[in-house]
Amino acid sequence: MSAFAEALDALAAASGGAVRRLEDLRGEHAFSAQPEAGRDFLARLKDHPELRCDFLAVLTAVDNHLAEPRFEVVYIVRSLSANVDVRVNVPLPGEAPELATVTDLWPAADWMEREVYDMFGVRFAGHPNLTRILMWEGFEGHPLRKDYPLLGNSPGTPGHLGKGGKR
Amino acid sequence: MSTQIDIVLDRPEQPSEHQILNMGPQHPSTHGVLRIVLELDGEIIVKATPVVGYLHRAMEKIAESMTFHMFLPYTDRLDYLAPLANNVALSCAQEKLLGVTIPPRAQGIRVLCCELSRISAHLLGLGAFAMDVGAMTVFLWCFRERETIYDLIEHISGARFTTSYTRVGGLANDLPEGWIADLRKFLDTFPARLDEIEKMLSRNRIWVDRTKDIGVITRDEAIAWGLSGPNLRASGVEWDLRTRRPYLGYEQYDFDVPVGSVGDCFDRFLCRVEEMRQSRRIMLQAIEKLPGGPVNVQDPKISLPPKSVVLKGMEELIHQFILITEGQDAPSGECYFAAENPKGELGFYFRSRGGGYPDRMFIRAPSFINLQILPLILKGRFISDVVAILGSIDFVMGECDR
Repeated sequence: MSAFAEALDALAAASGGAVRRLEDLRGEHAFSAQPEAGRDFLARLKDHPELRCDFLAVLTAVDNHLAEPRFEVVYIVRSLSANVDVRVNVPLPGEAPELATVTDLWPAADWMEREVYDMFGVRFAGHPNLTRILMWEGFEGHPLRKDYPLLGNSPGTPGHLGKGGKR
Repeated sequence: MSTQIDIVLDRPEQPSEHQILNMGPQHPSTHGVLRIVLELDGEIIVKATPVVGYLHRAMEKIAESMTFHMFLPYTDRLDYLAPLANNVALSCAQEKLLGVTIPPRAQGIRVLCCELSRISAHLLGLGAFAMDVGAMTVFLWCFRERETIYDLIEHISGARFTTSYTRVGGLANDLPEGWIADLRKFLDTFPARLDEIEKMLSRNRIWVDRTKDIGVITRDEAIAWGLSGPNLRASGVEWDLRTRRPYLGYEQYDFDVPVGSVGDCFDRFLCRVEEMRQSRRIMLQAIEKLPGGPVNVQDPKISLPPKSVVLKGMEELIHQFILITEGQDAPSGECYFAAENPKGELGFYFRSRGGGYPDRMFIRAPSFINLQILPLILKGRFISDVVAILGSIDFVMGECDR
């Protein structure tokens, strides 16, 4: 096992069980972190002298509709010096999902967190400007949730046909 | 509608001397439908707020109800200046999820496709950038070269823009006869034309004044803001996925990764010009090394059988039917693949629960993430610098808004 993997496992072990390694389909580094421990683990990944995951490549979410915990926020952070990606999945409940922001660690998270809020309704506490980004202010619902209807236009959509319009 | 769309964001509470200027979404220099709300103190920008989403087409939602092949044409509309490169990136990501390795000939042809798109995309980026700061001739010269590239692309895929040339496990078809010779002809004439274009700009007083030390992004800022592609490299970070994480056999080609030193608009321009030269180098080597053999994986569960056989053989008919209706059977799990596209790192994150449809597909669009840094670098600049900075960041709204 590489020194990088060992340092990662030591970091996960130091969290007291809140962070555990996941089996990954393609053998990449993947962890699952409890919501309270997620931000702390990510911050340690960034500041660790050997890991130095200074590049946030991906921040998105997945909706496991009808299962609980319903949402998962997925981070992929990268160590440019070691050329390794680390994925961190943070499960969140379906009711009022909220997570601490990482915009202070990586400014790149700004728009990506807004997008997750816009599309999934996951709130990020401490985000400087948590507003919709791809949809417009005033839009109702969160389109990438699995229970968002695939057909019909919602009231307020530009070009909405009104009553009797195509459903 | 319950809430009116705000015409102006963050209207200051106290009436001040500052003026609000709304730029876009139909401004010609915003390269599509980007809107920037500028708060001005005279000519100087106090605050810039980019507003995106005007071209949002819910691609990630659409992908959830489509098989892998069905989603391919949508990638033509991501970065529509380099559709071939998007096709390749998506197919590579799907192949990573499915655990498929494509034959060497398909890899070689995909490399040619990627590098050809890189030249085409950089030419447009450069031409539009130059036109925005007033150099009309460069735009026309760039477009002349791009026409040749479009002819080449049309020849292999049948379409100039909407190529959809790749397939899971390979390509739609092998190269047409004589294509390599045509490509060689283009590669022979291209360096002189590129030198001409570069000479027109790099020693041009107006161009240098408009781009030097404008929109400086430091190394640390570039990394923190998640920039990728030429924008990251212009700030002095030597990070290219083609060399750091070689895919499609990029490790067998000898090429350099140009890196800037200042991180201003001029460096980004120089990086793109040099990348075009390196792309040509890669293509020349790829032509030399291009092996023979099939262009598709010989696995009936992955690749579509040839049509001529489908109409005669029972087994092939069944495979065709299953692949079209149910798609390739992906294992359940997650995977992320990123490719070095002209605009930066185009990544696809897949979450699969098995079967032919992804449970979730996330597109890491480089234009979306690269644009975040705008408020930082626009602050304190003149209005006229906005167009230079936008041109040098080189983004595409189709990809940004997805």
